Amino acid sequence: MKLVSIYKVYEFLPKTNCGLCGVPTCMAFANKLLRREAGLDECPPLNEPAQSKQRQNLIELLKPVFEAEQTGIIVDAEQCNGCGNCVVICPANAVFNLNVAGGKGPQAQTAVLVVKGGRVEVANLKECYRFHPTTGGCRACAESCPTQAIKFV
Amino acid sequence: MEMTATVISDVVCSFCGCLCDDIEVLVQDGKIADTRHACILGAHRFLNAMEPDRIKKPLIRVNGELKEASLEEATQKAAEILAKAERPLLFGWSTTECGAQQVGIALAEELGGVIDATTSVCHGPSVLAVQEVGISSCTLGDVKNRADLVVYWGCNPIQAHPRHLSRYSMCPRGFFRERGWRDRTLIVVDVRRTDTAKLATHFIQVNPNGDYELVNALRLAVHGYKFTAEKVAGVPREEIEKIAELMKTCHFGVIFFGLGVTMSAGKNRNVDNVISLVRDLNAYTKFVLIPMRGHYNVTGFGEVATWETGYPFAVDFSRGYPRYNPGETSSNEVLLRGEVDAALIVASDPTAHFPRKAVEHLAQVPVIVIEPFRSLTTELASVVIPPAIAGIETEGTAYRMDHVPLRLRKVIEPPEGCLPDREILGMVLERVRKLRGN
Repeated sequence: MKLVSIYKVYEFLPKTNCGLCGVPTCMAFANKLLRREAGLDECPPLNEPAQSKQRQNLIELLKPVFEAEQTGIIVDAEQCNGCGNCVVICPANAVFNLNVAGGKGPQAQTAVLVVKGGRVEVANLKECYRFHPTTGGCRACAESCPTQAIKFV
Repeated sequence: MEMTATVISDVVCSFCGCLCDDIEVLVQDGKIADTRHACILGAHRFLNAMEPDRIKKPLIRVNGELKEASLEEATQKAAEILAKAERPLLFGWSTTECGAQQVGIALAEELGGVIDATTSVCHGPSVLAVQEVGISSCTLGDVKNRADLVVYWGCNPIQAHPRHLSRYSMCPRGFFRERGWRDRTLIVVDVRRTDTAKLATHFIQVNPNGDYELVNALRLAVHGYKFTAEKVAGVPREEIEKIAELMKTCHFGVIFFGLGVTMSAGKNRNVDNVISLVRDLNAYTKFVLIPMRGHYNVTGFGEVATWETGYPFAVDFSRGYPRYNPGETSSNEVLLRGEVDAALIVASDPTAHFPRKAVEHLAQVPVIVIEPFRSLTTELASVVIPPAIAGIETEGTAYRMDHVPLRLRKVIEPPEGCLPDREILGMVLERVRKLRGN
């Protein structure tokens, strides 16, 4: 799936930073839209008839985001070169696989990230610290990716 | 036919000098269906072993066209060409295992030819520098367990050795580096902001061909000399002093250097200078350097050639004993001087990488190629003999970039009639001896 760029979303917003949606800037609102924390109806200027074309464009653009069944990690297969930095640096991977801590590929079935066929795949999202209720917020995999292939949705 | 699926683990990847030894290969119905843990380059090597460019039958050029032939016909034709030649060149050897390299050297000795590996166009200058000033080095395991300062100079492992950072240098939690990446500092010196540089704590953008100058400036800074130039090779003085201080104060530093150092202006003098920098740093802390060898067994050729002949590459047997003088006996020079009258190319594609003049001469002489895949060199060959691929279809030994030998594994059967390189070369050697009456 091609990732939706925040700049593309911003492009179709009114760009007035009116703050009526509850956040101070249109860019912040674009971020909320991408995180599915807000709907298009929360932007009053966008619902005016003059903006109907922009609104339609945004509906098209955000369709894959709103249709996504769950949040998670997306690895852009075109960017990934299977270097495995994320696999080794992932704290959850290292906890379940001593091999990984030493730089090798994970053996256990609980590994979050695995390189298959030369590209990284998300194997076990439920073990990922980022989406765990008590240890949320980890970005280790994305930060160690040299090609910026890892994104969170 | 019944479908069978087997997972073979701990397979050694035979692509780059990292020789990752933790690969899992899924073999389904006699073919490689998938790989785990191999990077994009390794996976490509395993998954495309059979298709699309695999040559499955020996070929002999008849009336300008390559026609299928039997292995006996092809080896006989190859032996005839080589036995007749006065100054044959035996080139390549980096993507095959040590057994084949050993037979290759025996063949070169029998023919009185020149044997050379791809070393002469990549890390040859490193070898020359090491012969002059020595080297302070270690294994990649030492790097993993000890290094807290990692420098990549003139190389881009994220593209050329993708798993180098994750397997050995930056990501693993080592014995003395329990937090992995967070316990290490990454410095990248390059002429452009590469993907590796994007991860670096400090990126030093040096001017093209400025490496020698920069190393000199770093050596001065390490010794505490103050210099007046605002910039050296495009790098501000403050930055050089900062990096020198980082190098002096680390616990265990390592410099990985690539072709940006060996093949830019200065060549072996650059490497000589980097080794001297490391020697200087060892007065303050522990520092080592390791060349980033490209092909998976190019280090192996250096080892085999050294224990067989006394020299690591560019060995000339024309006087009946091994002689070594890179610049005179290296492959490009013998080709550029137009001396070569037949060539045996094993596991390499010089047509794609050599200078045009050298390739022009290669195209004028009979060329025998032992190579599993269609390449630019097979296109100008007189005889092509496809072997079994070492590390996939046959076993063998290969040397990692830090000179650690690893045993390659066989995971699938080769195409019918394809023998390992060492056996094909053995057949050619036997026939050459017969033709020469030895």
